[in-house]
Amino acid sequence: MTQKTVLVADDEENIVVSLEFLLRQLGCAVKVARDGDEAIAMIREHRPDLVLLDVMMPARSGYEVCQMLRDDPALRQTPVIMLTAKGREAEIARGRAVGADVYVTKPFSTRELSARIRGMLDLPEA
Amino acid sequence: MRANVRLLGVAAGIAAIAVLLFAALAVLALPAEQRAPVVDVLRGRGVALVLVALLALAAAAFAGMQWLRGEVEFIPALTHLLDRLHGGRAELRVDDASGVPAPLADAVNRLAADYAERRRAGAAEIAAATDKLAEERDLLAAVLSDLPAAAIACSRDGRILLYTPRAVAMIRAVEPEVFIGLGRTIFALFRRSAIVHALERLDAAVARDEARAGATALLATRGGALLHARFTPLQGRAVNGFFLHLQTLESREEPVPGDADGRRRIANLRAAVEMLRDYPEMSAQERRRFVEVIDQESATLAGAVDVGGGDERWPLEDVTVETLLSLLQSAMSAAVGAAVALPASLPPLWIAAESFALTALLRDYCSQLPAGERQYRLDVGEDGRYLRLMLRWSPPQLLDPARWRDWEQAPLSVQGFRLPLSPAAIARGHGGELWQRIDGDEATLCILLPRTELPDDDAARAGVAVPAPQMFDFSTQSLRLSQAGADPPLRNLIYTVFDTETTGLQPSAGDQIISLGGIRVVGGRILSREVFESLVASTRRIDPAAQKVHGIDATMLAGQPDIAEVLPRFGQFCEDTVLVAHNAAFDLRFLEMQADATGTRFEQPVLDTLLLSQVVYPVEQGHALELLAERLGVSVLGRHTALGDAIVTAEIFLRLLPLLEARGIHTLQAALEASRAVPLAKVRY
Repeated sequence: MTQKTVLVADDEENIVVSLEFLLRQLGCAVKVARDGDEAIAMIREHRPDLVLLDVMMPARSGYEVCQMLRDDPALRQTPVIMLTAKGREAEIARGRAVGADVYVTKPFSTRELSARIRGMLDLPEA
Repeated sequence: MRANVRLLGVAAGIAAIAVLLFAALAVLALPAEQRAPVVDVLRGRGVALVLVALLALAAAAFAGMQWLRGEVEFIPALTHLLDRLHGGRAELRVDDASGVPAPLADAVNRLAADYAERRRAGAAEIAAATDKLAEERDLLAAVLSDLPAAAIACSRDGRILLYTPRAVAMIRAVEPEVFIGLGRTIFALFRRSAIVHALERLDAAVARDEARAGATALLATRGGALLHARFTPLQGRAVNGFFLHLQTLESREEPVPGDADGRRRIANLRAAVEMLRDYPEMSAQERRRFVEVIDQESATLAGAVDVGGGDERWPLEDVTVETLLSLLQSAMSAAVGAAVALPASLPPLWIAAESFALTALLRDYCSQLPAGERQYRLDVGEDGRYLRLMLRWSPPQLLDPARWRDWEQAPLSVQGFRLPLSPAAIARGHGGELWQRIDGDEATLCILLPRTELPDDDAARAGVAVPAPQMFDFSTQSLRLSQAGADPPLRNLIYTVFDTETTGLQPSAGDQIISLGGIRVVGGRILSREVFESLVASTRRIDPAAQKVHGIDATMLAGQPDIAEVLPRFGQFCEDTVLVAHNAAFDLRFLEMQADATGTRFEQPVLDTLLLSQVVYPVEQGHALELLAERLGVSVLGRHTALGDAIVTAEIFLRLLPLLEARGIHTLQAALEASRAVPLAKVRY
């Protein structure tokens, strides 16, 4: 089985540390983008199997990045998990509206998140 | 030629009388014996003599009439000319062929020249005087149209006096059905009670002579969208009203990181802790990195713990406790039908509060309590950085806990109207809390509100006063129909001038409207931005003759809304205004034919420029739109589109107004009656 690639787009260094570590423990290759524009560029370049997308990022918000993915026929199928500190119903609805597959509000349980990721990438149980 | 004939007649008459007189004198002058035979001869021809005398008299009468006719014949034409002169055509003069006697013609022409000169001078003077005003106004208009703010000025009774394009765009986004326009009412958008409530607070602020008197409120539109509004007073010589600055809640909540930031910190912390917990076999270097994260985030959070707040917290206006409580008191007294007591003295404190929402909350709570007599009082208590606003009542009785939980989360209603807000959301919006409990022999509904720093009263007053915004020259009283009284002056009414294009000329035979255009006239001004224009899908073939006129073909109508959609919307557009159209009977018949199908009836008064033209120009033959436009000096652009024709009609209408007034027609009823009396009023379609 080939190694899965996951792109983490978040400008918070302190969450990227954990996400990166967690994904490597799951056996994934990890790419990190620090803002929305970089995320778009890296998705085009690396064609990741999954994108972990923070909503509040410099340049382009996670909503916009997700919208652009869904509007691009070549990238439309890429699964997206949105991570956000905004937990309001309206914001969750907005995440759903732009086409996020999963919407996770911060703070989240990393066990739950890793279970989700395993499910979406079809990885074996740890 | 006619003058010669007339002269001949006069000469013949005079000659006949002269001959008769001469003959009589000659007979009388003869000596008696010579007179006798002549008398004998005449006696024998008595009948002939009488006939000759009558003939001579008839000739003389004819001569007199001819002479007099020459003197009076020009009078109607001259009157008409004078009317037109007075109506603004100062260049008109009496010409030689008019039959007006030369001295009179000269006198009239001298007067006309003088009048023209005075008009010119007067116009130049007025132009000079208004230029500066116009310049200021244009500048203001330019600033307003570019103003990236949604602002609406209203008179005290809710009439819109001015608005920025941004305001229209914002309102259209949340309430696409509501028209915003000069002279329209703001109450079509917001409930009157909410505005009145804000105005009461504004008045209180003005009365206290606050340097920057203002009030903010969350206003719910009739459709349920929530807008943040700041009210400031608007006072001019002719205007007493308020200025509304609108913002959407989204645009306001963006810069408030508050809680979201806290959640992010906790997320970082939690993830790092969980990594340490779940992967104990990690390297020492990895472990160090996670411990670093934990240290950093803990420190940041510890500093933020006391900041509190929430990302749903509203930007609120500071009010004194006294102001807030007296507002709540009057609202609550009205709601519970009994006086609500206030404490004898109140602390001189300020709090940030949205009193409309708080009032709604208190009233709704009371309505949830089981029926029964209660005595209410309002109270406040200090609680560290917070202030407790309490409604207390006896006998003590609360909502049971399950009911309370439901109530706290459900949208409130105010007079049957659902606010898009729950009590919990209101408490959150204030950065506060909400609870109920029994205190001894009283029950209490307590709202915890954060205190604000006490502003230094003197400093606030000494601060730079913001001048009230300059006003448009809206001194003219423009009247909506519903408030205009029984017989309003024509000048002050608000009009919707409209026109239709149709598939053909026979409404009764099934022809249909395919285009509808309208424009508003307020305070004697045509409001070029307040127009209605729509093509209308039609099931009927367009008559080629009609198509030649308006140029609308079936392909242009594909995908257009049908009449059942357009007409109700047009009905809204012209609500509360007088309708004006050229040959209105034609257009109205089409509207009538659709009344049952669309449920839209136009029952307001209608003025017809075709009939008004006949009132003003009874001797002129043509009253077609082009002829009328030319006669009144209206330039015709964009004819034969519904909106283009409506605009031409509006200009014609405005120029007919002074001519009607010159005929003593000043009011709507007078204009309607005069219209009914002209011959063209009998035409039916």
